[in-house]
Amino acid sequence: MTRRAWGPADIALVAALALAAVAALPGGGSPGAVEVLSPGGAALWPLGAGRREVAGPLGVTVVEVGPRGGRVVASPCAGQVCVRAGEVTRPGQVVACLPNRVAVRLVGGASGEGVDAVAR
Amino acid sequence: MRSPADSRRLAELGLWIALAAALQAAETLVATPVPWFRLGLGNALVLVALHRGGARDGAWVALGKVFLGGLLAGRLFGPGFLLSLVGAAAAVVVMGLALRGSPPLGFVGLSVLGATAHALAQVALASTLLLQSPALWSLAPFLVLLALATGCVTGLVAHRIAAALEARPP
Repeated sequence: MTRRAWGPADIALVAALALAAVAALPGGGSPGAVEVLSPGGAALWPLGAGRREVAGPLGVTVVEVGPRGGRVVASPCAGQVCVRAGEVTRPGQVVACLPNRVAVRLVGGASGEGVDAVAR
Repeated sequence: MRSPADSRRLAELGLWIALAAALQAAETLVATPVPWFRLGLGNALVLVALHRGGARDGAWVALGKVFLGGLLAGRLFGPGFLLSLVGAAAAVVVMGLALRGSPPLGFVGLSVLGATAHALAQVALASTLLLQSPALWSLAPFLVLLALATGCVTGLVAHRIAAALEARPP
């Protein structure tokens, strides 16, 4: 029994998934504020709020909110993926430090960011 | 007394687990331009095991890859390990179910389904367990698009491996 690399069903599957993903991409619009999530809860910071410290289970994550978006400046985690990820500048983008359970997300401005589809 | 076919299957399984774990550990250690981006070549070997030995062999390779790979990369039982365990489990379950689907999918389709399940399961776990917020779901469309690309690549790799094995029977 041989199995092909791909056939019509595979192309249809990839196309359907790609269409669904593109349709679900967060809308553009202008950045409005930065949502910072931590075990302490969620907080909405205005653009240009500057540097603040957020506490997580590993220690303090330093978040910087500039005029264009937010970023993680320093983190107590081992991987430093969150620091290397850089700044989020488009609504819907997220940078997260999962070990320290901190996430920084850019939310849209006045135009709104459309439906935030959530399946729970 | 094991039959030669049994011995061959066992030897193959060991080879897939070792290769998949080494690939996964290497990918964990290599820095990538996009955070969390991994090609997931280990999944190609899960797919080869699924194709040749069925769901049970696939599960062995998937779980062996996660535990040995985590051990090699020195992150056993951390949050990253938990994420890769749940991702790999979701991928092998979805690919195992799709193996018997109709119309039959090729290696690329199976691999793409596995990669997508891997990404979505990780978002679900990180959202519920680590962040307790749906914020990460806005990453899901990007992650699915990445999964489509990496799934195609690993599917083609799996096909080449399976074809090479079938061209040279024992």
